[in-house]
Amino acid sequence: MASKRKKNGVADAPNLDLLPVMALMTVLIPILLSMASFQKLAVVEINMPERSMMNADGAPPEVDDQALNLSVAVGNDYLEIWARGGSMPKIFADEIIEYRCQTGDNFRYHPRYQIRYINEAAATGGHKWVQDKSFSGGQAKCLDGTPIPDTYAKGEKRVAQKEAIIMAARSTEGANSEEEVFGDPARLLRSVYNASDSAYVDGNLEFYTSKSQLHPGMAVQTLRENSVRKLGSAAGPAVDDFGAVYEDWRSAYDELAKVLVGIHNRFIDLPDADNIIVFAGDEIPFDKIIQVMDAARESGFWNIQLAKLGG
Amino acid sequence: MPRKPRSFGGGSDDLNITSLMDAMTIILVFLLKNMDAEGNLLTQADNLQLPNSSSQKTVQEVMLSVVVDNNQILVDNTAVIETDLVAQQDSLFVQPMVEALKAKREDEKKAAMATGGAEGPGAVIVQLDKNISYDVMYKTMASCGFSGYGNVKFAVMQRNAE
Repeated sequence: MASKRKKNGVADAPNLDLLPVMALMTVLIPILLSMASFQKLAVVEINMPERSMMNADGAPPEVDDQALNLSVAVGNDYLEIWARGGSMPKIFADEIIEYRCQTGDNFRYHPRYQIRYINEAAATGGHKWVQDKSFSGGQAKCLDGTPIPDTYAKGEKRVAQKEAIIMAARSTEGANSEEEVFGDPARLLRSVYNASDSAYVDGNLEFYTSKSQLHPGMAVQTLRENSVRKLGSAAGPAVDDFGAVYEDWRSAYDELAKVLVGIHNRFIDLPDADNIIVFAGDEIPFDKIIQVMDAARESGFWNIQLAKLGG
Repeated sequence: MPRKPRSFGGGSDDLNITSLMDAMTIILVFLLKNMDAEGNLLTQADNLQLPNSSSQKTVQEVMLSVVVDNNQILVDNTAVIETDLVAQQDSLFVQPMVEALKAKREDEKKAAMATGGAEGPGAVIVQLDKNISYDVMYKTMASCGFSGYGNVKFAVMQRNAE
């Protein structure tokens, strides 16, 4: 195609035939789309002592008094840290289960009080959990009323999937017994989270309990090292969007991470300062183990071993 | 200015697709950036929900995979035993799993010997559903370790990093 020239000599935009390029694009984009992985798989490594499984009945190795011997016990409703034969106060927690039903929205179910929360902002990817007043209690149900069974028969189609098990930490302040801790719903702790679900802490590693304590422009950090950033409206490498900050139940895993960070900083000179053993009961779901291992790894304990509780 | 009547034969004359090209180019660049050069060494098994984790480690080489879902345990995509039976048994070692894994390990050793390569420690990737109990997980791990696969890695979904 010849391009015309204007009288003043300036070249007119040449009329390129872009159709072949478009055709190429139309082929390339579906191919790349089919190849793109939007959710990446990763692996968690675990250190298994060689051959130790063989002498499961044998005597345990001798205890080294100088070592830290740190371990975390994972229970149904608590996390407990042990070191040098002693234990720290238990972190008590409620299980709140986040379900995603085959039909409808996702929601949270609080088994202890049989409360249901609906994520109103799920469509926009946000977090706005509001209590569902129409929920009568009892068994967990999807929003369309389908009850969610606890167990499924073999090959049975699943009504809903557990998206996450949230361990909501409880305050033990001034409590004398476990009944007291779990008897009072007001003991459930709150915390402030950023868009990638990391809890904010102040300079003394204390959690913020309400979003009203934060304001745009202030410097905040998470439990990770060197994580100081500013709150603001502009996105950037060291700026968190204040609009995406939300308030939620405080996770017991964050509470655990906070204690572990303190321990790691204090006992960094010990020979086994990077080691941790995770204990769990038989019935504990795999998800909880991975979350505890994550908390341990992020607090600096990267050498993780697993052991069985009470068996 | 009166519009030029569109000719029916080669009608692409006044169709301006430059802006469309711009959009396509942006999508193309985005998709290229999203694409993994090394491809997927680890594919998620069906009817399995992996837990989310903040781990950033990815798989570097192809490894034997063990899948534990709510119904059965698969070694290298072959079902060996039902998960319920594993939960019920008292023994730490899952016998059908141990047999399958030992056979795989023998094959690996033979292959290493034939190629003259060093026989590395047995590595296995275990994909466990997030609702699998710790009991089953422990027995799976013990069976892997007992069969010569001391290097156990758990597959997880990567959570978006900060």
